[in-house]
Amino acid sequence: MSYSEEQLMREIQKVEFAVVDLHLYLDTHPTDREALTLYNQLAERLKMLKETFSRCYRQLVELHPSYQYPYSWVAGGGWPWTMRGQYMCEEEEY
Amino acid sequence: MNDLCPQRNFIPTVIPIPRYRYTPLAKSYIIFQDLKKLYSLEEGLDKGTIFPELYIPYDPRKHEGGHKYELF
Amino acid sequence: MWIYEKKLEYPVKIKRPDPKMAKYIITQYGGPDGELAASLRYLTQRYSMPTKQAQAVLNDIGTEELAHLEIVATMVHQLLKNASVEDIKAADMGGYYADHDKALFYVDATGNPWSAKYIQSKGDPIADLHEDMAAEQKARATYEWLLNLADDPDVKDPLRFLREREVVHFQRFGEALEIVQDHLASKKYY
Repeated sequence: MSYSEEQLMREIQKVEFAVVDLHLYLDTHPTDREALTLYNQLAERLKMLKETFSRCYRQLVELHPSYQYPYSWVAGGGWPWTMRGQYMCEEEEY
Repeated sequence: MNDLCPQRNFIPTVIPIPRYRYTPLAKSYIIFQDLKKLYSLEEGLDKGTIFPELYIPYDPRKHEGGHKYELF
Repeated sequence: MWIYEKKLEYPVKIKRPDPKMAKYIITQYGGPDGELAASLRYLTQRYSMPTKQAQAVLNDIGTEELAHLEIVATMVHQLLKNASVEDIKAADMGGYYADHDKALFYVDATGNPWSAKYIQSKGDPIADLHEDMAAEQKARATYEWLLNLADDPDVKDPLRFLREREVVHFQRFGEALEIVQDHLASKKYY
């Protein structure tokens, strides 16, 4: 399965949002094991998705490896207030 | 209407407080959320929360009529 | 420290310029009940919270508000980007344009600059958490008035998202308040 940049970004946004919402829930429910398990599962999946995004398109998070030359944090652009075009990236399945 | 003041028929009712502990006055109470079913990831991002019990969307029709304060 | 992520929490893709709507929405950027005020309020109050849970809630909601600040900024930016000076004048935004062109600046809907007077840090966790809960309600109401003013679905969708986050944050501050009240009640004073 392959995702376009926009599709993969949407996937990341979906998973990351669930992680953020659960994270706030856990702040006031730190002993909820069920929520913690779910949080860990989703956070693991999010990590994988971000890794793929960085490899295929551009660096997403600061202080992480840059897979392209020149330094993709700058060269990759993709600042979130701009609207970008898309290319396709063939990647492993999820 | 003889009296411009609205009649306030005070009916003392006991309001059941669904709490097991002593509840002093002059403080706020919030019910703790319990984890129940969650929305799908797609629906969660769409709605702004993954928790169905916290999803309370805005209904503009409620605003159009203005706020109604009911006196007892 | 904070680590930046090159993405929005919720996607914003506004195709139709609308300087009038930009003028209204900017209040959630630099207005009294806006995201900057929210973020700075929570992040500065976290130092005087007495429990781990309350510290986490203030820290993490304060951080999420920065993501919301970025969503609001993106909305204003996209609403103004392709607007003509004529449109800006017609939207009664000429005053803003004279001072800032189409740049983002922290003002409310009528041009008042952001002020630390909008927020408080009292050193009393009960007072601070009540302020935070009120702030979430005021922001929720602002998003509702903005939804009444908006008609473009590209604008309404992120506004609805941001409004719902206020509801969730209110609940979390409420739970933090419960925890802090219990904590203070269990402490022995001599």
